[in-house]
Amino acid sequence: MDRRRLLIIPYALWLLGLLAAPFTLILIASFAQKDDLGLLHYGLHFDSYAQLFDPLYFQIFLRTLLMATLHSVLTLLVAYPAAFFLSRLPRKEAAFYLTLLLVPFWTNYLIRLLAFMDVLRLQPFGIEWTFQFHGILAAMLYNYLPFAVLPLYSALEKVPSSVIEAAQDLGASRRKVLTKVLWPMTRRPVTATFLLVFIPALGEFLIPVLVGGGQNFYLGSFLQQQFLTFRNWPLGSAAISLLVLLAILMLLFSGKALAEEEEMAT
Amino acid sequence: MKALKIYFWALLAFLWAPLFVVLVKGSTLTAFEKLLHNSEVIQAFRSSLVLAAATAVISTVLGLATAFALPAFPPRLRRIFTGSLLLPLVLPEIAFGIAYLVWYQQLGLAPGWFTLLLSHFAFTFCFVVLVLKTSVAKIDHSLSDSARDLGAGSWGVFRHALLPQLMPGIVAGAMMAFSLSLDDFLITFFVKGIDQLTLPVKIYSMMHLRLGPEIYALSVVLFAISLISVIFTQLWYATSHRSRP
Amino acid sequence: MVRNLASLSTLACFLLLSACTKAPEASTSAAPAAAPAELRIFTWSEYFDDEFLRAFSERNNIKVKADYFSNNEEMLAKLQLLGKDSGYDLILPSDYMVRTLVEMNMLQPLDKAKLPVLAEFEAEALNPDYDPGLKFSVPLAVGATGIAVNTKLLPKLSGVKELRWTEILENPAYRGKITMLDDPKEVLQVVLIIQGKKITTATEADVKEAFAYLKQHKGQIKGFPSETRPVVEADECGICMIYSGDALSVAKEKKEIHFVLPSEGATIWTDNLAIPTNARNVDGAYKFVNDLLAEAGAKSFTQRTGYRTANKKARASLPKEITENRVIYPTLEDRKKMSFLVHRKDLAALIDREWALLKSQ
Repeated sequence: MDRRRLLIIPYALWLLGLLAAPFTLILIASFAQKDDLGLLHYGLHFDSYAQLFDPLYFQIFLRTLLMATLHSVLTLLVAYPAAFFLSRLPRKEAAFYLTLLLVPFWTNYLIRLLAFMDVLRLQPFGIEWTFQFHGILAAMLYNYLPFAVLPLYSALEKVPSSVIEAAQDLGASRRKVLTKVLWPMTRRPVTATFLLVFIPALGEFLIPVLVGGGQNFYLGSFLQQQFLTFRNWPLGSAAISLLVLLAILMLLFSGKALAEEEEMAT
Repeated sequence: MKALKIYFWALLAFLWAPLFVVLVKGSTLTAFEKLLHNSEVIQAFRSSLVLAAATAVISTVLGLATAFALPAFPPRLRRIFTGSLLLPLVLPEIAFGIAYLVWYQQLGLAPGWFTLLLSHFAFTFCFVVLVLKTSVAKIDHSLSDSARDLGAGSWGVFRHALLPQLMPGIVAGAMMAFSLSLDDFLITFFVKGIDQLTLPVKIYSMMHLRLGPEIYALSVVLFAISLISVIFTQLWYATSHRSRP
Repeated sequence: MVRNLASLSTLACFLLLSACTKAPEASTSAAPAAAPAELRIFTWSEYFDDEFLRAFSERNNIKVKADYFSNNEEMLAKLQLLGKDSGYDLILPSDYMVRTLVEMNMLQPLDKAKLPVLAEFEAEALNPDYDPGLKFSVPLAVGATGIAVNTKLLPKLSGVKELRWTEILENPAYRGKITMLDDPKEVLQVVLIIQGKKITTATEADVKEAFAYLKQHKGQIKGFPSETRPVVEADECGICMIYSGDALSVAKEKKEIHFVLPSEGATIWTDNLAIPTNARNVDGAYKFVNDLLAEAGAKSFTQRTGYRTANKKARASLPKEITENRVIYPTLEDRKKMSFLVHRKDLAALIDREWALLKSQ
């Protein structure tokens, strides 16, 4: 046997002890029942799952889905040109600009967010941002931008300038270059980046609560509330279990679809 | 291209604006004075640094091991392993925090430094592996092959042929683990014992009142250090280049 | 490559700094005669500042360690998760939370013999509904939930001493200028008061009616911010539901902020000192309570936080500007219209749902 396989032991321990175990606890909790005092009675109760299909909770989920989708699309749209710009620069220059991009993230997340809110309160462009949906999107963009730029840069860097130049020599407009050259070559990383930015956004609660001013309920704050305020662990656990299921499905589906496309292309 | 440059600078302005707010609020004498007198903030900062450094080291070492192990498995298993590493990105932190605490209780572990470190390792490990995976995949095996041909043992091969190639990835992974740990609030809040106070927890507790100027002063200090080290390495790199024959 | 070296050196600098900052602590700890016992408290952020804790630590040779929470439910969740051996010697639950904790057997009964400070307390504070006879808790801070009015945003309200919730929630002039607390109990209490009901006797129908009213007027409300202070400070609300102490604290810097008690009535609440069942340093806990709430301690507490205590000697010796401040010491008339929050187990699920519905609208 390849001795390198032994090195997988830390991963195996992590998987069992720090991922499977906690998640199993959540799964077990989702089938439990809560009494008035908040104590759990274990068993196989489907109450919490049934509760989730309440149109109210579904509404919360859909709203979160909408916010996450808009946010992800926006972030990708903003990050792609920036990543492209960086990819056309010589390595050293790109590293410099990348560092500039990352410098603001050398401060603590909470401080950064509160400082960003201070800026939002100045009402840039003459509109109100706090307590508004677009404010939430702006803050999400602010927070997730490097997560989008880095993988896209890494992918776009692999696209040789010669390919783009060749297309342009053949008379392709800039739009054509984008759709016929860049997009096919970077479709996979873009999808991966989309998921990287989309899935965590589903569980985000700090930004919608602080920036949005608690106007609406998003999945993140709903979970927060179920776990902490109402101590309804079965319900919160059920929501998380479904969220995980959704994420797994998305990962499987996107992995499969991309693999299929690669097969078709060859 | 010119247009893209302007676009990029506009983006930088967007990202830097809040940073300026922090720098302005934190660069006053009163802010620094308060910082030096606030032993709790300083202690929290210290704890966070040590915890983050320990997390980075452990996650990177074990992550490297995992990254080496992955290619030794058939592609399907590899995909499953990699997929599982993506799962923690999906779960809301609050779920982890609570689940970890309950799990540790079942194991008989009291909340303390060990549970805290364990939890920080847990959620940074996956990120590090994902980063190192690509580094390991890019390795030029000719170097290690020739090293082995020349009679180097496994450790020699690792140290002289593989490690230099992996350095960028290792540093990137370690930095990622370091900053994730430094910034974590929610998981820390649940799994820590009363003896542990980290910076994010301290900041969160101050949020209701008013974020004292000492926190901004601390941010200025952190920022200054990062800035100085970047400038320092730029200069070092420039001079070292000149000295090459 | 540059980036990586930069990162490495940053890491190195961080570690160096961590080593450097060890210095201050080493110099301040002079070796005490005996190893100090520890007192571990779980509390709200605003009540104890470092100075007070340090002074208490030195005076009594006890090392005080504090952990913080931002709301009662957070505290309860953590305590529940930690189980009987939470490691805390003293916690600060609010009134209704004391009752819940007692029902869950998480508090130990107090030995009145060890609490001489209670002799200095007002009579009416000694027998609250949520803890008759103060068997398990000692009130520390007494406050109210009212309204902060921003006269810069709403100049018409300058100098106003009375304000009605119905006026606020129904007058289109205030549309989009109101913020309320992100707390279903508090918000529900407001409407129940408006509709002449009490939380202690409310029925399911009452709760539904209350939330229906809120949904009807939701357009008036700008939001339910989780942190009221920054919102008030940033002039984001003209009429802001707020805790009395917070309002006073903001008003110190912002002259346009005035605290008003709504005419229909308001919530009165207390934050209380209680000892968990398996506390290790029970003696230390009693010492802390006595120290904190003795005349001198109570006085400085009120002056610092803007919340009154139940200590009548402290009240007697506080300056007039505090004792005559209606925000800190409301009149008898005010207090007649105030009511405590109550956790209604039977209505909890309904309130949860209605609150989510209200916010999802």
